[in-house]
Amino acid sequence: MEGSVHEGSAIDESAPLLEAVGVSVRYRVRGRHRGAARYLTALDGVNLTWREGETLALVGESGSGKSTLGRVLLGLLPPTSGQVKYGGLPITKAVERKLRRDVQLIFQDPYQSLSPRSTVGTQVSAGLEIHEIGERGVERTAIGLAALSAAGLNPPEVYWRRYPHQLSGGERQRVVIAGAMALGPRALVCDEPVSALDVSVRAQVLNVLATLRSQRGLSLLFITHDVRLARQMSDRIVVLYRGNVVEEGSTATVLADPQHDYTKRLLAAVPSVRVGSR
Amino acid sequence: MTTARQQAGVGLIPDAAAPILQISGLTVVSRDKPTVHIVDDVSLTLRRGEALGIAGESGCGKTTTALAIMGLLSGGLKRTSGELTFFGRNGTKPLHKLSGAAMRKVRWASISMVFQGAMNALDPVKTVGAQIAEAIVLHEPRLSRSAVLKRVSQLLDQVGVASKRSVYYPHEFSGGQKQRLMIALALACRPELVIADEPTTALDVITQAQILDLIGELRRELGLSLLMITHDLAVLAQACEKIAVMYAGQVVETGRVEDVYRFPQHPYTARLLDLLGADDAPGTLPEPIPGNQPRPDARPVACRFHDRCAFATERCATEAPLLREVSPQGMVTDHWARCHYSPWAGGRVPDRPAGTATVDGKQEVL
Repeated sequence: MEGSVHEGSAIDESAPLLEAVGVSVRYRVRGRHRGAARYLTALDGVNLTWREGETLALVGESGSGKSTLGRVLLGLLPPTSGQVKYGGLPITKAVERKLRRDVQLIFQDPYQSLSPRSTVGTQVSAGLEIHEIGERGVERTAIGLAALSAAGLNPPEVYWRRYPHQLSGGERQRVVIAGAMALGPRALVCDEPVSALDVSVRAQVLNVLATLRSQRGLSLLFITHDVRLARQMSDRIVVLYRGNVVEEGSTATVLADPQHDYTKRLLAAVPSVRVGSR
Repeated sequence: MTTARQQAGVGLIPDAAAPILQISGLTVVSRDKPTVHIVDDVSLTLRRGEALGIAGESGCGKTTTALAIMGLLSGGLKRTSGELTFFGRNGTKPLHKLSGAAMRKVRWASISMVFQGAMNALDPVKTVGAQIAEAIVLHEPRLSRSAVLKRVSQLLDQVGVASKRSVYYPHEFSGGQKQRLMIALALACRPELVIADEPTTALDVITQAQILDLIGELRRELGLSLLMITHDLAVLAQACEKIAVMYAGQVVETGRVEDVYRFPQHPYTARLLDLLGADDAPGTLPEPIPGNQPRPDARPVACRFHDRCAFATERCATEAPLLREVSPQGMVTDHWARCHYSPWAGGRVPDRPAGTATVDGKQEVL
């Protein structure tokens, strides 16, 4: 099963996991300016390196380009200019197929990323079928059950037969994580993975991700406006503002001593629970 | 942070202000299963000009409490007991006794609401000005056309949207601006009390801070009273003077924000505050609370939190704790908690992690 996806693409394990080199994305928008088409620049020559084993946080407000960058990195959106490299290789068809399997994506809203009409089992094993991993039947079921269990859904047999509406928000997000983990990825890109969840459930889901990271050496990329999440989970922070990287560095350094005005504003906007003297 | 709180309007009102809304013994049940109490014997007082935040996880009953006040409970829910008294400028009204028609007069004109996910609640095929005007005309039909238009542009001004944009459609606004429009809509008939259900939840931090500032400004300018429903204790700390924490249909702790955040008297509140991880070193995750909040039809007997509580004893599983005053001796702080072992009520919680909250960055020991 391994052989079918290789097709001569030798991924260099020592190269960065994913790399964006001078990536720009422009969207055509409605209307014209002095007769010429109008464009919106979502990303403006962004360079980014995501190393194997690293947990990276891409931070910025709505419209900063962070989700666009995430989509470009996954090969879901071709950049207008610039290049994305996976394991040191430019994204060709063969590399893209490997990338799709190795780097999985987790979206914000588990209510929307699961189909209401299929059981948890069907959805967790769907990726196995697409990527032709394991034998149909017993083997795929075993992989799926193990993934549910690893995502903290125990006993997995019980969850296997359930439908999404029978689950809580936190359980649904863990089903999504299990579906991604079933494919044995090297990395997960998580786009606002917990912002739709309650605080206590949020902690459960983040702990599942942290456990998977330490057990399997998973690389994680968080796309978020939540500085708290970046603080709790990431090794390194990249701050995006209007399509540009305005600051990057180790999480501890950026949070303790932000250099760019925008980063300072972003940190100051985080509401504090400190309610000491008035 | 002091300034952020003051900007958000906190600390404006003396504690002695008269109540504007009194909820006593509110119980809401499911019509299908009348033994299932969605909201169970909730009593709260909101003073005029004050901001009270109701906090809790999804399903704790906080939104149902708000809808019960507005008389907007959905068909499957029913208020079985409890009194809701509104002390308005035009006299005292027992909301629980009002007919549908009488309630419609109070709603929006005296008490209005900013709904959850409100940004998507605007009608996409009407201009925003027309939608605000519609609300005004419905409640004040005798107002002249020019007076209505004047009020619309005043309202847009107040919430920081250029009044010339009243002829725009909802899709031409950003998420934060749509939230401003929803606030303008809530203020359209000059209410005394605004109920805001998760007003900043879908917004990013910068927009969230702007909306919280706006709410504070409006409180100062208009003397509004505010009931804020939120699951985010950090937002609540910034916007409110008082807090009520709900769990499984009940209020488990209530008091002034300073007291509750510094000296939480219920283990659930303390754990929620821990989860914010405000002072943890980067890279550390708070320990989650084991288990989940029980569904309304599957709540444990006695203390509803006991099966998830690290400090629970046998007593917690057999004897339901009452909501009782827990202020330290000799002090009147109006701080209440529903726990047998609240430190200030003489109870002693074994190995309780002391000083879970911090004050001015310093660890403080209970």
